[in-house]
Amino acid sequence: MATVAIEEKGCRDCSLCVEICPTKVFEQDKTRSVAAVARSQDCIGCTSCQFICPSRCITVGDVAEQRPFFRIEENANLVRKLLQQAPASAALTPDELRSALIDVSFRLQALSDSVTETMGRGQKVVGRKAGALAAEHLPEMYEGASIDEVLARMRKRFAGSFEFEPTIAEGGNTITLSFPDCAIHRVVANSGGKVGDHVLCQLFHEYWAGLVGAFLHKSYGVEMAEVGARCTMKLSCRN
Amino acid sequence: MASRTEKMQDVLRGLRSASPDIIGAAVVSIDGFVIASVLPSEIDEELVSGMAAAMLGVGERISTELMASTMEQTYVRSEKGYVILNAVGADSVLVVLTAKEAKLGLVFIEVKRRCSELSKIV
Repeated sequence: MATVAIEEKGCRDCSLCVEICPTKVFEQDKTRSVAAVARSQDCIGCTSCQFICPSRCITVGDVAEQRPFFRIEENANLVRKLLQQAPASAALTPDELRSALIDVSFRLQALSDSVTETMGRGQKVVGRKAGALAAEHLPEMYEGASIDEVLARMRKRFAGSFEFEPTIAEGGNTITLSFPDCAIHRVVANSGGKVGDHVLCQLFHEYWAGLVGAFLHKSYGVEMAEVGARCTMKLSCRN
Repeated sequence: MASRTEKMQDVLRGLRSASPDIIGAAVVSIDGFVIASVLPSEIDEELVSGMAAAMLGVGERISTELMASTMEQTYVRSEKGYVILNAVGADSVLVVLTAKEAKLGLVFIEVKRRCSELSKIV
């Protein structure tokens, strides 16, 4: 049977676990301003509480987890192996890397073609919305007290899949993100597309604008300052 | 001198006052950003602008693929009213929300007239 425990020291009484639990395992202890496990026998081990807790103070045990792809650090490392040169060179043979790159490029090309076919010029909005929706799955980013902190948390979170260097100007109204070795660049180049203009690049840029905008409660437009092996995008606040 | 946004805002106010059935209107860029709007406060501007840009994209694709021509107008009828999208210039769209009782003929004439004004400003 699944077990669930709250480390009360870390609980800030946000009540997210109380709200999300499908079987009402938690209750708010109003006198002590913490959430408490009230009906542990009802826990079905869905781990919703563990994922949503911004303080990371809930532990669900004795449960076989099938975590979503984007949350698994091992998969982030796998992506790094497949798409980033340095770790891949250590883990894969050149032939394996070439084969994986062709496969990924082929699939992403098919995805981008279908987006272009159906959405036409509306594709940018799709990318930005995807970023905003993805942000909802990263609640810890909202905990940052400043723009620097949020971006530092993002760098840490995405390490292993997307390395980037941020520069903040005008109090966060302009943010420059520089990707020293963008994985999408290699995919686009491999599929014969024009880096920067390709729909995959545009979707990726807008995705980041949506992601950063959601965390900072701003609406950003994207301009490319540098395109190539190193890509630099400039996010400018529109509201 | 009034800014472009203020001028557009004036045009949108004129459009809204043309008929009590026009609930609100906005000019949105193809990137999904609001350029000017007179939408009721309970309507999420970002949501409207994002969906309008997406719909403009889809509308353009449908016009090009099925009619081999450029898109002029798209409209959606719901149980509660209409959403009308009209291209303004090359890179923006006018979104108009109306009540179910709206006289569409009148609204379309008004939309066409205002689009002509907006395209000179945008």
